[in-house]
Amino acid sequence: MSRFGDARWQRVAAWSGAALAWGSTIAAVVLEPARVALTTPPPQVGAATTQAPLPAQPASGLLVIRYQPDAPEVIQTVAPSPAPTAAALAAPSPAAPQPKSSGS
Amino acid sequence: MTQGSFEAMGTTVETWSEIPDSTSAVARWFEQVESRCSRFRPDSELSAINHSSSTDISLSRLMWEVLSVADKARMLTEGLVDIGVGSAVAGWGYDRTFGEVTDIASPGGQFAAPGWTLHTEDRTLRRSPGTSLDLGGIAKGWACDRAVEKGLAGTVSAGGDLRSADPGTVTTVLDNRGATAARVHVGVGALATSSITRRRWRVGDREVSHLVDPRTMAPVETPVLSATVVAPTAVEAEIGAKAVLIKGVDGLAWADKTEWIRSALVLWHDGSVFATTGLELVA
Repeated sequence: MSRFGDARWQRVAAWSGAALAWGSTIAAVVLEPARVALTTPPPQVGAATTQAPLPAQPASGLLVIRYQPDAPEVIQTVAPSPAPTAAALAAPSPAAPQPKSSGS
Repeated sequence: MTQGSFEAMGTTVETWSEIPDSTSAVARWFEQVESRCSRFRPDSELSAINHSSSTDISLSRLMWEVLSVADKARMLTEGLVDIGVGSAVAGWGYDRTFGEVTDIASPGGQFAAPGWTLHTEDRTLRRSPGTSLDLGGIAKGWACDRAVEKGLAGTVSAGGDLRSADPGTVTTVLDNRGATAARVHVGVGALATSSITRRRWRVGDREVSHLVDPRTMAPVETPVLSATVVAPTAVEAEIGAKAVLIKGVDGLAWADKTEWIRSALVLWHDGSVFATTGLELVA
């Protein structure tokens, strides 16, 4: 006769479900900071910076796509650079306006 | 879907369409707008306006439409985008096509604040003495808008201004080094980028850009290298991007609370990229 009857299997299943839910919660808590970091401004940079370190915070949050306050080579490119053409600054990617049933 | 391109308004214009011969139709339309609105063509209507000694000037229907859009732009941006800065733009050295602009020793005089009004009853422009108009970006954005609204093409992109009627349109915004700053879903709508990293020259020991702040009538000083705005129309995106750039530190906060702007992105002076949370990023 099995030591695991129906009632015992049900308890095992219930405990397993609870453990799974608890583990998911932990995972969510671990993942949350990464997601929140996208809308939280990074630390202020040094006062020696001649330009404003960050934009003023919009009411609905600041989306930080790339943060690199210590990138002197980029600061130098405030001067004229041979970089992108006018069109390239907002050029649709080649695959962008793909034909779609509701498209143009 | 066919893609085409042509040169107009000092930049490359690109079209995407399922309509045969779409690019030619858009090119004809841009030529029509440029022949009226270019300040570099001596025979354009804008040149005639700027060289006229009259304070009251009758306008063609097309010029009336463009100036009406510019009038609305001035109101929407609290005066930060004003086509009446033409005398300062030229006086600081941008008085010829950009390829011909050279360094100068000093700005050509003091520039009075812009003053101009439109009068519907007789379709005229009234301006204060010394006010000269520069339709630059507004005419370009408006040409994109009208090309798509008239059904000449599904998507039109001209020198940083893009208008699309296609829900699938995605745009790559580049930084000043040509690297991808973000890929943005535009869909049915528009996106424009205004930048101070191109079109730069020296006035004395100061390096300046083509973008003049109407409050100072001098080239703008800002921590923003370029601003990109997503809005329903290219004109709105264009003037929104200029206003964000001129507002500098407060640009994104202003864009965030401005109803006609869907989202905005800035390339910061240190190479960082910030945006409002409404920006639809694409991986």
